[in-house]
Amino acid sequence: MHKFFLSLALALLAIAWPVQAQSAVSLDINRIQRATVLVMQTRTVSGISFITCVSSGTFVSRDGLILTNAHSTTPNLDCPGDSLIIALNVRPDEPPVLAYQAVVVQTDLGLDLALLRVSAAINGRAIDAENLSLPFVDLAEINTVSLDDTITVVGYPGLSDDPVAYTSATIQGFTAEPRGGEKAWVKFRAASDILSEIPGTFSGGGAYNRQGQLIGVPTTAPLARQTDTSSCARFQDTNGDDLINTTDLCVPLGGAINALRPSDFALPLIRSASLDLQVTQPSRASTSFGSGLEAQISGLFFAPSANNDMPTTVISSLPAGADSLYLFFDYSFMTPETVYELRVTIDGNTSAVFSLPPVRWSGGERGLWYIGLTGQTLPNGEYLIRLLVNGILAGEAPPLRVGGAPELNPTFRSIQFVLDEDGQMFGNGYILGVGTIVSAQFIYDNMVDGLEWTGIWYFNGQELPRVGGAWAWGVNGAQSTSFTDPNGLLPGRYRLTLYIEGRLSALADFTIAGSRADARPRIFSGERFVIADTLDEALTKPAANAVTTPPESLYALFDWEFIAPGTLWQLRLSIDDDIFFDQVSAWSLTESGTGYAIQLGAPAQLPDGTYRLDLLINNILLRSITIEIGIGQLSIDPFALPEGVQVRGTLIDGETGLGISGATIFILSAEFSVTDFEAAASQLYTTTVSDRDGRFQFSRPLQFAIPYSIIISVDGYLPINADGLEVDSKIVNPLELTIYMTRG
Amino acid sequence: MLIEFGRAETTRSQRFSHYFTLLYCALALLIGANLRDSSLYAVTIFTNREVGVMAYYPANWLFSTPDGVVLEVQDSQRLGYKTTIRIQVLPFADGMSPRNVIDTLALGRRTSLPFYKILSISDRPLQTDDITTVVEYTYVADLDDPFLQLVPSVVVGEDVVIVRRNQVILVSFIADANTYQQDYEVFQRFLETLDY
Repeated sequence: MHKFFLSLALALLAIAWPVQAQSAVSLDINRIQRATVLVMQTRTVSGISFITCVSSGTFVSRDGLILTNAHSTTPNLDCPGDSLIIALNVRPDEPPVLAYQAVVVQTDLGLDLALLRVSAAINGRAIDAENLSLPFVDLAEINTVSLDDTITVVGYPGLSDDPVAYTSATIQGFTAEPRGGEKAWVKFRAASDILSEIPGTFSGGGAYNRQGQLIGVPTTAPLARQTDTSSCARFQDTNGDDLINTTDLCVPLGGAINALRPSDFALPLIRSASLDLQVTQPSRASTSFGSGLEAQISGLFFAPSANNDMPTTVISSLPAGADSLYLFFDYSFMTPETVYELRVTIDGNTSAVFSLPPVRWSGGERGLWYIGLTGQTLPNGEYLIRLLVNGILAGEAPPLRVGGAPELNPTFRSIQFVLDEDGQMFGNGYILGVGTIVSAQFIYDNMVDGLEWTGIWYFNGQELPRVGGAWAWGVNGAQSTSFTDPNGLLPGRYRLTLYIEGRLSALADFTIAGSRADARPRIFSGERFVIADTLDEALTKPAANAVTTPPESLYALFDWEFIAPGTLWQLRLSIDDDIFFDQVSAWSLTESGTGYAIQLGAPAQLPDGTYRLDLLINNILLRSITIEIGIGQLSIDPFALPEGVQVRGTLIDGETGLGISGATIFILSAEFSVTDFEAAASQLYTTTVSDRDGRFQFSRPLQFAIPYSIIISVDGYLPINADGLEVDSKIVNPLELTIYMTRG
Repeated sequence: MLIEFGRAETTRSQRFSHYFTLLYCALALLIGANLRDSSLYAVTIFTNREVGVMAYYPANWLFSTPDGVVLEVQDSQRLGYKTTIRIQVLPFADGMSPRNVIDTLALGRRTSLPFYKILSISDRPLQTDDITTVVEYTYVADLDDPFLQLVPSVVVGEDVVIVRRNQVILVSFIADANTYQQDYEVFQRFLETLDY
């Protein structure tokens, strides 16, 4: 009898199985479309809900984590909503359907990334996330793509009227920034007839490499407050006057998108959210960003490259064939909600390739910043670069010409700093301990004796005594200049600017913090992990470097010395070398002290793994410690595999030709065959129930080259059981099955 | 004129053949009925020594033990809502009453089960003469697959609250409202076999 059913099933499957053995298709667009959601931020006033912002998003885990933009999901002036609704792409060619409510679980306002978690069904019914099995995508580092690669950009082109859309695009270049390095932004151009440009509602969606991995989030931050009504839509009576007009809330749409925020930046957020790790800093004092003052941009100049986030030199022209250009500027009173935009014109024509659309600010409140145009050869011409902040022109760099042969102008470059004490040198170029004499070493080229040169030192923006005079050290070589404070150099931010004949030629900042030590000053010390439930307990308990029973709470403590308030420092936490917390912030405590505390917690217990704490300043790793918890490494989630073939289809009554509703279909785990099945849920790989039309869809994809067994046993019908259901990369994905059931 | 032909006396062996044929038919019917009963009432034993519960549940029902549940079996072959029997063990302290347990359950289900409504609460003896508190309720069961056009089912459930020292054994039966009475027999047989 089994043989009969087996042959019947195989015959049916063979009929229904599309004979479409094509070349390997690795971009599973169907799965990507299903994983792409429409995120609506809403606000409820007097019992009436209305939409305040709309963006796209992508499931990045089976239990409902959604990666999207922060500007459209966290409450702010442009998006003042208080709750989030998720609409799903149920059918590829239909508008999305409201399905879930969600909450923000992780966010980085500056990077404009947010991670949401599905929290309830649309009707408010609580959801057990553990039992969700939603379609999701895998992430890949931005280094998996390069210039001129084709990518696929996916998102929703409208405010919920349109189905999910995708278009191919070409990578045209990269934009460098201090936070994010050479590929802080990826620039692309839509290369499809479907969408000539990527609309603003794609913001928060996904861009995928050829393997179907998410490499970036299309991003632009709309400015509903400053811009005209064409960039927002009014479609709700939000003030209850029975009219929809200019007095109603306008939902920002944003302009065309040509930039991606690489998904690398989202990895710490995803890691932290998926492990349910919470990081708190009880020691940290609150800082006031922006102080309510208008953001300011000043001192714009160009450099050909950056070294340790400092300009190597200052230029006013570049030779033909140059492939990088850095715009440096000072900024102040910036906040993570500040929106800036880079507009580049070459010979009077706007360059979409080099311009950056309005995006959120990812730096601190004040300091030196750069935006680098990298990864592509710069066309010859005169470059005019303007910076807009919150939609208003905030700075314009002097024109720069690209083309011709390299100019041999007198130049200073590559400034580095050391602490000069008793004939010994301390420091590593950009971070120095406290002392009395700081020496700046720099390289000079094409100099002529007798040229006027000037060096101006600054401390926290205040000018210090100048140095300089007539040049007397020849054409090329290395030189140094120093600054002495007999009372001791105070901790804080210093700068040296070098001029030749009144023209800025080189500039660099350095930080004085910590006490004098070897190459790196001793700023942080006494770092340790402590197993404790409370901060008071943590301060008194001994350090631990391994613990077999995972605790609920873990403290990391350290002492510090000579850090000026406002000094930018970086705290990085990782588990098994995967970063789950990375924060650059201004130091907000006293200059020296003990027992700075960071608490790691989890609702039940901390997951097994090797935890590491890194402390950095100016991207230089100063201190690091680790602790092993449990077995010392993370357990593997067997469900965390997005790849494979999705199986779906229709169950049909062979007699009537109608779909069979409410039938259960089992696929057994690879280690069990049909004859092994003892009706135990633990033997199942995945299961589904047919809907009102007899359609079914397994939520978990079948892995390649693994033999599965299928069981369809429905009251009133002859059962269909089959072993050896195996898929490979040549199978068309999704795999459509049409299964006829015989009454019996 | 009467012409008779082909008529012959049946032999003894022929008569016995007829009797055996009839006997075989009767036996086949008996065996068929027996097989049908075996199929309908076939059971699988479930034992959990840690909790101290033993019962027989219908064979071929899908067996699972989700977190916090001692036993859950479902009639997976059924179309529509899968009739479910579930056993949970909950803490019970001195001074508590079964009503406290019922209220706590209702508060939790209120948020997770749409249109959850208690229909009746009564006391009922089991076969063991233990008095139990029985709660009947209804709600709308909806599967969590937003990609399928699944129509929710109205279901009726019954919780049997059995107090055992400092524990409550909660035995639940949930079925589609349309087939609830018909399926209830299965639950009664299950309760009759329940040993705790």
